[in-house]
Amino acid sequence: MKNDTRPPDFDYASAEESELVALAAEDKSAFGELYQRYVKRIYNYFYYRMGSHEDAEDLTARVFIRAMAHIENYDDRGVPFSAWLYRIAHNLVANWHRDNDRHKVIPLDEFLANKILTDAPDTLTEKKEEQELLLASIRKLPEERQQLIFLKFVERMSNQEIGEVMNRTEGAIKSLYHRTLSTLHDDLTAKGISLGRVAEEVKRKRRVRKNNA
Amino acid sequence: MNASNSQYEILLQNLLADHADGLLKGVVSTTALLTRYGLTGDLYVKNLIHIAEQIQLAMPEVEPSDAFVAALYAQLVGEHDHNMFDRLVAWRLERLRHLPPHMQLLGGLTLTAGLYWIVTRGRGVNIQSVVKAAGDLLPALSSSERSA
Repeated sequence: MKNDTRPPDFDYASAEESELVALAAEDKSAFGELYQRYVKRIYNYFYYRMGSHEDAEDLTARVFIRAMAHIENYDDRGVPFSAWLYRIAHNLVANWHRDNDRHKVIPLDEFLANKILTDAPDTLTEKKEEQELLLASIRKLPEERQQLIFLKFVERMSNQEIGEVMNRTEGAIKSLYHRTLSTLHDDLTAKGISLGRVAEEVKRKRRVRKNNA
Repeated sequence: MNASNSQYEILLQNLLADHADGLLKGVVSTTALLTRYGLTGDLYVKNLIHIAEQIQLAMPEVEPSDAFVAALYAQLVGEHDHNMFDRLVAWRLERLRHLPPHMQLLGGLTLTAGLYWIVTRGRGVNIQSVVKAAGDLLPALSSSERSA
């Protein structure tokens, strides 16, 4: 890869994405601009998939290193560059879980013990606890459903855009979204947790742990 | 699945898709939506909508650290300057602080060895940056001993 193949006054920041992609195989600055545009999104993807900033940093770095090594293989056939990056990211998550054997289902109690009760209880709001319970349930979903939730709620993609990333039809994404919400509903209900009552559930578990300690 | 179940399923999928679109645009009226689809009394649908709204609240966008973004940029693009070196060291130090104490010690020694290697190879790095980074390691390591 060569550097500085563009004229000195070339404005990478305002260049079209397709132009940057075409240049990126030979021009590090073009790749650098693509990186600046997507690093935050890819980081968010990993943060919500893995639940840790450290893992998010490691995997984000791997996505861009791999993308830079293989960008000449990227073939724009209506699939956005972002979709290509997300596919790399998706494969890395799958490999990471396989290699590290970390994709175990975390029981809710264990999650609470690790995530909530180690923090200073008085400083956490009930709302925060509700959200962490929900995130724990989301992380137990199959990978494709976690990906759908992320692309919809963090990336704010339309069903059509999500379909491009996940290689599915818009109708299939609609159906998967419904089934995903339904699974979350069943998971929370099975634990006797209605989201409105999650805070009470957290307090009850804390009391039990204090008594057992 | 019979025809009526299938119709309900499709109705539900469309309602949830419309709800999510409105939610992300910040212009959703759940009551109006349920009325439009004729599902005002359906508690199950209301629960699914509630879960979708909770997911949106639970997943705000997060920011990667500036040090990480800058260090990775430098690694990818090969931009070498004093600031890049400082940011790279700052990011590595930040990572060290999140490791268990014994790993912090190991990481600190590795980082020190790396700094020594850079200095001895004389790659145009500002020596003051290296000395400052090495000095920053000491509080990081002593804090690990305290926490141990």
